[in-house]
Amino acid sequence: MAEFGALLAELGGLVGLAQVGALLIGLVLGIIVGVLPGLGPLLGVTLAIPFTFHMDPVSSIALLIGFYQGGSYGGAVTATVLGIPGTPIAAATLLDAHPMALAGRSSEAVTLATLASWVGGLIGGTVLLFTAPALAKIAVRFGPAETFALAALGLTAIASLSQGSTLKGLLSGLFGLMCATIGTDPFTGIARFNFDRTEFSGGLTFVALLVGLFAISEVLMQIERTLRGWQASERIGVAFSMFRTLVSRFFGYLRASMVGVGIGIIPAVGCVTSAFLAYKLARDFSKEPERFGKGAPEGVIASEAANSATTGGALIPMLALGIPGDPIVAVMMGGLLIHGVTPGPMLFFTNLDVLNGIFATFLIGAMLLLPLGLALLPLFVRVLRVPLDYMLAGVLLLAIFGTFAVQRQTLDLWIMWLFGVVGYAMRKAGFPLAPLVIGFVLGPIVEVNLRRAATLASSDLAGYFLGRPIALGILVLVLLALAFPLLRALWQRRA
Amino acid sequence: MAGATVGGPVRFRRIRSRREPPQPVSEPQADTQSGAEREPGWRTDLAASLASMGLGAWLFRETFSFSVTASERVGGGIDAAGYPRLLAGLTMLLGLALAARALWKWRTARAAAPPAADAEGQGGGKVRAVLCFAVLLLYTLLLEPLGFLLATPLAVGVLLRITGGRGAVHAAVAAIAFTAAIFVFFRYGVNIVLPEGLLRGISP
Amino acid sequence: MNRIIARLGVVVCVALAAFAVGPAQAEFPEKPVTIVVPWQAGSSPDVAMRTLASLASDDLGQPIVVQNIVGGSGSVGTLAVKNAAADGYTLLNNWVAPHVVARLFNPEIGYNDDDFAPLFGLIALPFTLAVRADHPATDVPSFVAWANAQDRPVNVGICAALSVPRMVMEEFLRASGVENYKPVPFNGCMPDNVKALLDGSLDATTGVLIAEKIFGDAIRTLAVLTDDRVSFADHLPTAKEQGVDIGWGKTSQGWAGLVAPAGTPEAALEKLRAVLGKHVQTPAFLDKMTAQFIPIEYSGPDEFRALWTRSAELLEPAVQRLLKEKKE
Repeated sequence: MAEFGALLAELGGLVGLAQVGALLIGLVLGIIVGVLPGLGPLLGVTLAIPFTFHMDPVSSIALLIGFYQGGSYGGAVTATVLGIPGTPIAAATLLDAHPMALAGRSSEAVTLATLASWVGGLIGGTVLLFTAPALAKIAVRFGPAETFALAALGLTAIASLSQGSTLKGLLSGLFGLMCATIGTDPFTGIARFNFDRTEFSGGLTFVALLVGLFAISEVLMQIERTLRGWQASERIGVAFSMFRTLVSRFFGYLRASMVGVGIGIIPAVGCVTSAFLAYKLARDFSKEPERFGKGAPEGVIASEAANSATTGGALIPMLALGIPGDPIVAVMMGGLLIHGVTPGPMLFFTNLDVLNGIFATFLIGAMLLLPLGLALLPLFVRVLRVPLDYMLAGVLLLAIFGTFAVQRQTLDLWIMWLFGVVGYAMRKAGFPLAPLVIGFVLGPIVEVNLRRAATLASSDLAGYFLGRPIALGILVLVLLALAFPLLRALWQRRA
Repeated sequence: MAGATVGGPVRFRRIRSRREPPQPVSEPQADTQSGAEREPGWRTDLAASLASMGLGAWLFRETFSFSVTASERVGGGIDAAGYPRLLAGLTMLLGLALAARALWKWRTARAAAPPAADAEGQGGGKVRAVLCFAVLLLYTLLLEPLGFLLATPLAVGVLLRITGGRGAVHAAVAAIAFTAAIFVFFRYGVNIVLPEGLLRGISP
Repeated sequence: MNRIIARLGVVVCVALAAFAVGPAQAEFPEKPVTIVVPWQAGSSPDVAMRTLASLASDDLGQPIVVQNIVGGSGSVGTLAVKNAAADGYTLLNNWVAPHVVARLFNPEIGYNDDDFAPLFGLIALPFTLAVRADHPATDVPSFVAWANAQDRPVNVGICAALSVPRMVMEEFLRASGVENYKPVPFNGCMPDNVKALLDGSLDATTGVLIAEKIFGDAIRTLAVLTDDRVSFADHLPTAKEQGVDIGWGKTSQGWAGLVAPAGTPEAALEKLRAVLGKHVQTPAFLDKMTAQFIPIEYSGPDEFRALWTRSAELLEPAVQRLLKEKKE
């Protein structure tokens, strides 16, 4: 334990005022984005990426982590007050937090949610701190074949992220993979899909693609819907009595957090699943399961602790193996790549300072969430009354000039508009957007490592893979991950 | 203190009706996590499948124009052209599968119920979205020649009038405030000179 | 006290001058100056330019902003500066790869030497020959003997397919008599290009000096591929002193400097050369660069321009060889 304290002190020394400032800004804005219905941490991180260009790598990641943690928490406020999840992440929180609010206990519900997020975040951060380096130590021996297999495993996330239609999810992922092949071939340097223009030889700008796909299409959807603001209806404060649950419901907090971390480590399962799973477990273990759904505090604790812990868990495979587990982490990975920081085992050699900065800011952010969430609660509730047209104009201006400022090329704005339309059309046609981003981020890693392995193997690629048991083992996992949903569907049809 | 509810440090105006029930949401919120909307009808699916197949076919053809390096023609066809060709091929294949599913949907839908329109029946909303998008494209065109300080208040003012139905004066004031905020943030916050256009040499 | 009065005097004079001359003839610079770096934020070039920007901004009287325009091996950013207004407010950190090599590979890339006015030459990154620590070779002759004794092609990392380090490494291998090798491209010289030594994919690689700092004892640098030893890493022998002379002089390094678009007013160029040129030779700047393993070699505008021409002449045959292989 003393060792742990020393480690924390060492990590704390790595983080300066600028980084904590960025973290605070990220947390506050992240909570606001999370509170606003329809917007979520993904949009927050997306809009923040262009601004990280003007910061050092640790401040950038601190800002993004703030958005991630704050955004994941903010939805709980909306779920409690309005009865709609501010973000899908808060969908499970809604089940009990809103009935509590209807019974005049909204302060208690929001305080509980804040406490649970705090505990979950701290546990998630601690597991991150200890697990990621161990995993990376093994992964540093991975060559092109193993890296390819790992990235392919990450790509299977596309199938499981495709709610509704797996077919459409796969098409979306393929589209992302193809978008990544535009521009100079990273392996041999020849021109591909560059339409004979030097401007395209760098490929599509990640920021323009991302902001267009998520932010612009979201704004277009909002403009198209009936325009009306949201209204908070009750005065909300801090219910200090809820702090006692930290002791009385200790195991509830712990169980949900562990579920959250565990789910987070598995790629592509994500916060929503972990929250519902923890909620279900809490109900199964409860002596009075019938109270769930009618305002049971345990439900709020389970859901919020789990989804906060998942944020820490989801960073583990991204940092240690270079596999982004969910769309938000995929965007964060893109943000790191922009700074020349390549996630994966090498991070533990080449950018140890950045890495420790990430660990430290994550833990600091998790700790700050409690005082910040409680002190600024009235402000966050008030956000629910910003007129919608102002909000849309603000998001649009940030999207346009955030993207423009990155390279000051008008071409990037046109790419952004193009992907705004693409994202809008995809939403309308029921295509999930996240697989596209995962394909775009992992595409070059999959391609280049496969071709590098092929070059090293000369003519016998199969033989080369057969001689590398780790790569082979991961590829078997890939096959299992692909076959599992099919088998499950068959099984369900039989039953 | 036990059981007491303490207000936060920031005072804010009390909302008039304390017990007003929260407004029910008329339609499901967009799932921002995965970005998926509800399941669309067969027409949309068919259009999407045609678009996928068309895109795949075009990119498939394009790959034959790449000049693949001789030294790389060793890894069993996985080279600078082979990899995108594989992706394009898969896209065409999955597009075909989607077309088949769309047709299946059409058959079952016809058997079950009269064909429902794919559109959400919000003609006004669609027009508003298209109008806003047109304003944004025009703005992008005019940004460099006119300059940020002239083009932005115009565009934001028009957008606010369309989306919020604000009065002319209200929209103008808000537009100027937005422009000033963005300008100050970029010019003095991160030292980025936004397009000066007509005001080159005059603007701060 | 006198200093305060002197400063006040300066302020008053400047203010008066500003009123007298009016905005039309205000002195350069009157708004932030941008340096475009054609590589990723966080890369060595980016670190060098950001350091320079933070040191020289006060002296220039306006903030210097670094902007990364990445892609196409640096050619996208290079082209963007060529197309920027020639008013001295947009500068380019030009690198041999996009400035010379990319143009040799693709004459239609959209720019050439005449599109840029040199401020000064600044950086010269040496490349190295590196192997894993447990490799049997300890110097260049033993490496050549080992490589030629293998009955398979030796896997050599070359940073990127169409890059200066590749041409330097291949020139070195040719000069030293290693024939049976397979060049394996990566995404730049660090880190995967060196890490692949550790996972056993590569027998040798084209390293950079910072790999010494990052990987430490895990790798062994057999030679620096330059004519002279590097001042801050002078324990590392050169290839030349081990009997392999590439004969490329400064072209065997990845060089870089600062340029403005051609047609920039001479007054602005002079001011930039004076202020920035002074700061790159201060200990404050040089110490920071040494800490980052970035070797600084300052050269004046004429000398720098001569290097462009010389490099193009030397690299042309190597480029043609690679182009021929491409067409086969």
